[in-house]
Amino acid sequence: MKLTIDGAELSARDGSSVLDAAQQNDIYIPHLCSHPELSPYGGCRLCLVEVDGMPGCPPACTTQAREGMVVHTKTDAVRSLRCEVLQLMLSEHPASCLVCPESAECASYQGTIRKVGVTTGCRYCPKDSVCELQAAAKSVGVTELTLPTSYRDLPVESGEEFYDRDYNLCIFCARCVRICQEQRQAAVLSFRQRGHLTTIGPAFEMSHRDAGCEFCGACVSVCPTGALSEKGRKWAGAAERLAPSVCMLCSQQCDIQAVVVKDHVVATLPPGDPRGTGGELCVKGRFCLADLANHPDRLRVPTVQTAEGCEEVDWDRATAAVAEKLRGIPGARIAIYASPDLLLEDLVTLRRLADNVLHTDNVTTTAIAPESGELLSRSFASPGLDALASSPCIVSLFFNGNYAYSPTTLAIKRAVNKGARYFQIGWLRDPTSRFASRRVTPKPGQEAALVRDLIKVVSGRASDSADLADIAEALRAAERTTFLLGMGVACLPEATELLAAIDKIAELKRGAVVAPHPHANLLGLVAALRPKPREDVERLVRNGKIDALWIIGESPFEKRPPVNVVIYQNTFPPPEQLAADVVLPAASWCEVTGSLAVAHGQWRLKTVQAAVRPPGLARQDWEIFAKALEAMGARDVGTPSAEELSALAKDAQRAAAALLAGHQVHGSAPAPAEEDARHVLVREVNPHRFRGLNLADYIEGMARLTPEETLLVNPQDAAELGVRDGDSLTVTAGGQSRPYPVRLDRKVAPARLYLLSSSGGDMVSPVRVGVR
Amino acid sequence: MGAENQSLQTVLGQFPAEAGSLIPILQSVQAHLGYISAQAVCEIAQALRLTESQVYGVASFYAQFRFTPPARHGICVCLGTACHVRGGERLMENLQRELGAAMGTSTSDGRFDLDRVACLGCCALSPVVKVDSDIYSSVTTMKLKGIVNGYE
Repeated sequence: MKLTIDGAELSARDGSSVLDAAQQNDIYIPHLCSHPELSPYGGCRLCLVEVDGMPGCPPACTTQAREGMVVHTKTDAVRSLRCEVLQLMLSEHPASCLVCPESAECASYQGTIRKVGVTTGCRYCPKDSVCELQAAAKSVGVTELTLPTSYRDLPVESGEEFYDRDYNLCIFCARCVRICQEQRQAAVLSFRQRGHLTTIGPAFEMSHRDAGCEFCGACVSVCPTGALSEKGRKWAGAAERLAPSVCMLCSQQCDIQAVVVKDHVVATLPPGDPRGTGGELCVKGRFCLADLANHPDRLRVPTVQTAEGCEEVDWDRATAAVAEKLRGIPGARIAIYASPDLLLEDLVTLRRLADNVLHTDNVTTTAIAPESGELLSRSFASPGLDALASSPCIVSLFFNGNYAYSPTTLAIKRAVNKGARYFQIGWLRDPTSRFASRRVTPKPGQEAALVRDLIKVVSGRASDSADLADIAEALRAAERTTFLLGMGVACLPEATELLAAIDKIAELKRGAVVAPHPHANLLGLVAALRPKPREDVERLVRNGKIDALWIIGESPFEKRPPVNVVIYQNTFPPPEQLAADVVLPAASWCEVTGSLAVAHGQWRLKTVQAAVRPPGLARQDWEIFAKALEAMGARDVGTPSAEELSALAKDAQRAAAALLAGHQVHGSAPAPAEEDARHVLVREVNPHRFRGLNLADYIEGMARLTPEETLLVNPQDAAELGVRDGDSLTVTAGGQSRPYPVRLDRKVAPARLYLLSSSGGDMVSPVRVGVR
Repeated sequence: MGAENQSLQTVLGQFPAEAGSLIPILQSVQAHLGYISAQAVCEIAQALRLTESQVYGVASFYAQFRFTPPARHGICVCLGTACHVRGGERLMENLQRELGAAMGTSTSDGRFDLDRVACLGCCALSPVVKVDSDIYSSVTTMKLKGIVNGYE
């Protein structure tokens, strides 16, 4: 398509708007509400242009470009209109950054050689120098305010998690409202009221969390002004460098980019234009990673416990101490716990250490609980998210998409928009609930029976019960059905039989089973380490058959078990009661280079590149193992070769099969129900962890979103029980009582109490409990 | 709560479950309950597969929807041109002080809603105050007290 812009004959892609056509040809038309990921809106009126043959000045973003169109973007008429529009915006938007008469000189006086810190220059807005309104005003040439100002004087909303909202700086471009609605399809934000009373936010005075906000940060990314700003990097200024990286907080391994300022990762963003993408990250990938890397409690120096106390040492002395303490202990009496968040290079080097020097095969991980082994092995075999997005029928079983697995929940939303039927069976509302054709909350204790009924109905072995009629009909009609399994399935009674039955219908329907899990490199760990079942190693430790424990990136023990030596290697200090003899500081996610095994399907590797250096003396895990190997007399210790890694492909299959055989899942027996108890306790192992550490312990926002060992209670139930946020409830089951703090949460179904538990060891099926 | 929920479900049953029904449903809910409650927003959102934010965004755009239960009586002070000239503004100020409620809100005891209106069509009788469906003409601040006391 050919058109003329400002006298030059140009070509543009078919279907472009006038604004797109200009941008394709590097002609700048100021604009604020227009955004490449959003549909045209025409709200800010800044991109007004003149078009021959069209009356008035149409906005370029909502005007379709046509063959032979003659467009003028720089006439006096549009210039003065844009100026006027900006003046109107600036009458409500504090703009001292644009019109301060001292601004030119100010910059040159900001350097100071005084010995104390002094404030020079104004820091009025976190977006200063990266603000799109500032850029537009400069390009239009606004240097003074012609209209009287009427600032709104709204209180800054800083009481919620991860980002602050200062709507005094808002220009109502609706990018946040639209990205929340169009791309993330969460629709938590909307315009409230109208005219100059307009505000942006959820219904009534509801908090964002209660309104279903996933804290994905898409609104913050696209905000052109300082109205929305990340708490974590509010005053960090513009990015110096964007380093591509990978989020290691779950099996989805999302691509991210790390925003680096002064050799620190200050934030993480989805890939693409840093100002211009909502992306698919969840709250963990968007807001937690930087805090994990920069936390003040990070381990920086190796320490050794001596008679005099804890001593900080260098690496030579640290690895010498490790060698010294392990000397003479037979391999069978050494146990190693490894994290599934380590890279393949780390894991392969660890295997060498275990095989060649320590001579132990007591290598395990806490990630594979007896209950979850089967589910995890299905996860490895599952196809990727494409299967989900293209499926005409989706059934999710006990899957919890709150604050996690964003690509999965988005794939479901997109599939439903394309006409798929979606059924959600579970205890909680999550971001996909609004898209479900129907949600089924199983009756207390009837979870397994419900799944069994569904299987019977679909395979034609029973007539449709009224409760499942529509699901059965949809399943029969659909050409394919994809089952999305949450880790909750693993803790149901008779989990093994249920999983086998689900496999059967999936096969019957030519469908697939998808089961995302919370570990970044579990398949890699299984392939590289061929771990023993966790319960076997635990039994050895308990029975005093182990003398030395080396714990890498995990925290399986809160208290020191009966062993002589504990070596602890992680990013954060060990629990005090573990009384570790040697503590080795490891590098975190953005400080490591190597590869991850893609969590599902064919054996593929995903490369991870370090963005910054680790703090202090901390080193990547394989370097630590290599140093230890040298200290224990091994020669020629290098990084594992590419061949070594690709050779793991066949091990992966074998090890995954072995994993299945090794973990005979019996499913937990239903716990004895309390007499006439009305509430059901649903317990899920906290999936929000990195290297065994609970994110909520290190990140304030996560402590509020995903508190561990806290009862989430439906507000109606809470009113009936007479408890409020922060109160305590005593839960009684099987003769045991325990008090828990209470949090009100609308996502929890009535009569359910939801609990993120710290460990998988005592996983029980949903159980009726007494409540006081 | 039970009765409210029942009439909500009745209203929702009368309209097709699609986003286009939102405004007629809001109008009907307001006609039944007198206002749009938080529970109503929640139920409407679930029925139409919208979020509460979307429902509230639409409802709060229109002046015809209210989000607090109506008081027992509604006082409307006319602030149209004629009434304004004859002292309507003073009546409004007086009422706000006497009742302790700002324009557009209700008294804390749920007795009066205080609102303004642009014209009641009887400018010759200005200033005019309307309480429920009774019209009072040529109102003065002295008369106003007596009028207000006539409603419990």
